[in-house]
Amino acid sequence: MMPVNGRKLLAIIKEKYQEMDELKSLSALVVIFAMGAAFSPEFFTTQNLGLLTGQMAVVAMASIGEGLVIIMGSIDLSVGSVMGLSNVLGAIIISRYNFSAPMAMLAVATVGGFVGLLNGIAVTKGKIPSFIVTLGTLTGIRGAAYLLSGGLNIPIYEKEFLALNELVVGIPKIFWIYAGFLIALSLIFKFTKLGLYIRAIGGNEIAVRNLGVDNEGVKTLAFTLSGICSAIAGFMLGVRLGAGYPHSGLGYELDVIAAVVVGGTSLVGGTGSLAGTLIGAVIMASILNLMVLMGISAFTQYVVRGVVLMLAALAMRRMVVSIK
Amino acid sequence: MGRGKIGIGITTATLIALCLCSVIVYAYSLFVVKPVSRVDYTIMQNTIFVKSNTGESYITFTVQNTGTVDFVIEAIILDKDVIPLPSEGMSGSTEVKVGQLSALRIPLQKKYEVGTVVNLFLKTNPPLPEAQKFVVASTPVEAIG
Amino acid sequence: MMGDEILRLEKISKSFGAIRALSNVDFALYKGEISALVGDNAAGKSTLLKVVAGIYRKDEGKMVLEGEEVEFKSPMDARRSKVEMVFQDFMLCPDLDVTSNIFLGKESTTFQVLNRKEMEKMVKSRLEEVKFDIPFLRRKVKFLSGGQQQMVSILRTLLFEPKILLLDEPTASLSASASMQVMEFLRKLKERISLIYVTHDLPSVIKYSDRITVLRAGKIVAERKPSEIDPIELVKLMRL
Repeated sequence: MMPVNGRKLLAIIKEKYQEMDELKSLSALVVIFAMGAAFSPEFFTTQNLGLLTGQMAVVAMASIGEGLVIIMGSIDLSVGSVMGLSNVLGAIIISRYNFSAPMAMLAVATVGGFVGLLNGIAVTKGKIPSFIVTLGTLTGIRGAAYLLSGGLNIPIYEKEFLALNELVVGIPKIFWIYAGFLIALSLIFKFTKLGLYIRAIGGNEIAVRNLGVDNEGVKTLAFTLSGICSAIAGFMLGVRLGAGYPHSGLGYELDVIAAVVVGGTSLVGGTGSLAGTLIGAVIMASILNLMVLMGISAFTQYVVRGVVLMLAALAMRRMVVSIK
Repeated sequence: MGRGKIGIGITTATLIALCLCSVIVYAYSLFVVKPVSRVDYTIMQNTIFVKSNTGESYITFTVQNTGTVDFVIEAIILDKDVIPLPSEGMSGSTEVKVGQLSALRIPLQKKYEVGTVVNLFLKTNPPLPEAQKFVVASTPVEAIG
Repeated sequence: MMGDEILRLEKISKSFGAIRALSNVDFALYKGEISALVGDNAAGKSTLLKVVAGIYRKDEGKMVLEGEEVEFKSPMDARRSKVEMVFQDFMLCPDLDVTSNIFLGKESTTFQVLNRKEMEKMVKSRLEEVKFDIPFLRRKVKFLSGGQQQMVSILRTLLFEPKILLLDEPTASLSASASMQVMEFLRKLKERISLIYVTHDLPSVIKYSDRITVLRAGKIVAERKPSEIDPIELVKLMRL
């Protein structure tokens, strides 16, 4: 064993910091929270933090599935449309068919899963790049949402469903639902073969294939999970809106991908964690929340969010260069 | 087992799991729940027009059936004035099927002052459920011609 | 000392569209042998290795492993038959740690949950056995040197006691000192494992191999013992 001197120890610590992508995102979050405390007295109130968790739950939920797909080296652009479809479907089956909230969630998750499965099969068996496949489903599924709703908004009055917006320990129930999914999928990602293979495929798909590991099944399953997460996010969106809107989720794919990237996941794949997607979602929601509290105009907010995303991507790129 | 078989195995297992969930949901929808009969609607593009030269007035509005049952508009209520339908000189259908829109134009006897706002309610058969009794559309009064 | 025949390839042919990469290749490998495959670019050396490794399926011919005819439909089939391959670009996943890379495709699990401790223990004991040190098994391989990465790649193959080890340009990306370290390590392995390796490093071929096979345009054109030839003559055979 080589002797460990001071300089080497520092190098190891620096390496650990570079290795753990979540640490970098967490540092950024601490800075943002510090800014929040400095610039707005309302930022750290229980009410505002409850509002924040409610706002971020939808994007964070979809980010879990998107995170899996991006770590695997692919991308899923259909998340916003799947959210829209599941929002509408959930509203219909609850308001018109008297489905209970848990069964409605199962129903929309199943539909989202089928969309994801379709994406996965097209990518693996059809050998079509994921960008193109999911661009197609982005359009097609949005159309399905409009067809299903007839272009109409579908209000939901069921108390059991709307009660999911109520607070538990100052935080909306939908956030706790998200937390449950995050913990379950994080454990699977970190401790099982599936998680290992997702990271391996993202790092070097050819190596994985040449070592005899199946990558097609793993990729299909990751896309399916992304579809399920997006569908549940759409269900949560319905809770927040109190209705099914066929145009809901429009543009959300960009917020979801931003949350994943800002959370430390590289768009080329191989690195990242699901905990990082939580941090990324909190960062994006906090920045938005802070800007609203500070009275910054909506147009400026768009610019700031774009700059944050580019800075995060730049930080990732420079990290890769410095290791080489 | 070769790579191809394992791949099909995971994909097939995923497909089977999703189909199983579908069966559960479908069985639930068949045996546990029944479709809810509820009247619900949205009123849009509602305006009272007053002809400047003659003083005649009429109301136009569109009703969208967002509920799960067909209904018939038996009367419109403007503030407190009830106008039973169908009325003479009106156009449009008072019967609105699920998912459909109906555009109505109803002549009014009362004189309305331009620039004011009148509350429009509908009386339907079947009626709105108790919790939604107050679907009201604020209707502006505008001059025309 | 060379033993009995362990692998025999008879009339192996492989085409990629109109390109005939291998044409009626007959080749044999003996127990305890280091057999080198040399040739110019596009001679078919890597293709031959990949056919044996199950990455490519042969179009024609027969493969006999320890007296039994075999047909590898995938790399996993070959790995199950104790035929392992080490790749030129190491085939490592840069963001996975050493243990994960070594066990990739053959993880120890209980109900799909990885048995990390058990796998790490196996890696540590194998490292001690081969007297090679890689500190911090939990470090991502992208932080290792080229020589260490290649050793991880080789260790991956050794963990499951292969009978045949195929190496595609094992020292191409390494420095001179790292190359020597790897080749010395491989020479020690031949007591237990038979090796076929593809290389452009002709001096190392003369120094380390027991037999040299020359390929040209998908065909075997010569077989020599190292004592019978020098690098200049080898080049002539490769190019004639």
